[in-house]
Amino acid sequence: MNDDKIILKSESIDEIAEALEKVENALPNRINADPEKVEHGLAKLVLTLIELIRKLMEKQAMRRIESDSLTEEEIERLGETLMKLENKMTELKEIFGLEDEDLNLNLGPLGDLM
Amino acid sequence: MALSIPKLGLGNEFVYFIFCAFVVRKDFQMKKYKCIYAILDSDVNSSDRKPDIMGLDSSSVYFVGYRNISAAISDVIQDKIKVSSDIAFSYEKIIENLWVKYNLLPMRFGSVMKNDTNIIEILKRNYSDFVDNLKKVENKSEFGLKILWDMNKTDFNTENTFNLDNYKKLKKLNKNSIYRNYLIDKLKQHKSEDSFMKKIDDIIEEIHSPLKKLSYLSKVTKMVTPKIILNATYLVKNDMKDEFIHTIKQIKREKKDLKFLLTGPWPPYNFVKISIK
Repeated sequence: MNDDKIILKSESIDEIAEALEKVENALPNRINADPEKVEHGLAKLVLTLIELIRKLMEKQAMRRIESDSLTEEEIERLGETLMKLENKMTELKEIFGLEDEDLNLNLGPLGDLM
Repeated sequence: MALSIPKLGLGNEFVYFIFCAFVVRKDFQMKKYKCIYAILDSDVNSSDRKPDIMGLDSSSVYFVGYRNISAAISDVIQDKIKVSSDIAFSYEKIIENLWVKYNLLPMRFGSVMKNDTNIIEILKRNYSDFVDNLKKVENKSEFGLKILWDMNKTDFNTENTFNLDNYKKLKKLNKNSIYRNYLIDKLKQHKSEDSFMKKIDDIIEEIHSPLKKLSYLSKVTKMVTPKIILNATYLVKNDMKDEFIHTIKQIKREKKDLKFLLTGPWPPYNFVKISIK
């Protein structure tokens, strides 16, 4: 960008450039067709979607608890289900060698999925 | 065209003429597509050439018109414009040069058509949309604002609003139940996240609210990345530009823990809404 278009900037403009690069690099230029990486990439995608659904369910569960619309037995079962789901996700992440940060999709200008 | 021609004797000029004709024809044949840069709010004769604005592939920009609107065009060699930062900057510069003289709608980078007739057809089919959008952006400029924050430095003072007394049924569950304690931890976490997001919304509102009042239109995205708290574009009337910039400078002085990048004025890249028929 021409400097004459920059009206106002704080120091450490490099930090801004670095943050913007992350947005630009959200989508790869080419599809990686390496068989091993495709499998890993597919696992990552599937687990990301499962993690998204799990977090949505968790959020909904919190709302239900806050609304006081559940019985004590239902709350207990809800806790058991959510805990087991989270443990299973941790297990799957270990199997595929994925970290929490890996289970996200960068949607470019829209930001991260989660 | 400067050419070094060896002395061939009689008929030299004729050979030279044929050679030049061949080169010119070849050059003409090579540039057989039309790159569209912008739709202008101007009734310009299609035979006009504007040699002071050079398009991509070193061809002059010219206009084709329909009623009171025109398209700014130049000849290009290929139907697909190569994507590179140099070419993108050149493209942007062409639009800026046009914008100095005309109210316009910038076309998407790489808008290429076969010939002038096709372009006039597009002007006809989308005439109303073009006119409406030209009216919308007339005498206005676009500004881009990006704000970064440092999570470690920004003072959030988020309250921990979790109180177990508010969850009687949960509280009644066996205190040794791992599921009860799991839910309590999750509730605390969610409460904390909600407070955090509320704080972010408050900061964004403090910044965006005065700027929205000074602008004709705005588009805001929050938390594009964990660092970019706000990514906004504003369409501002030209007579409000100074006040707009002054207000942002004031906000920057007040929000010392945030980093600002304000750019502009730009042609209205982000405020044109047309589905080309």
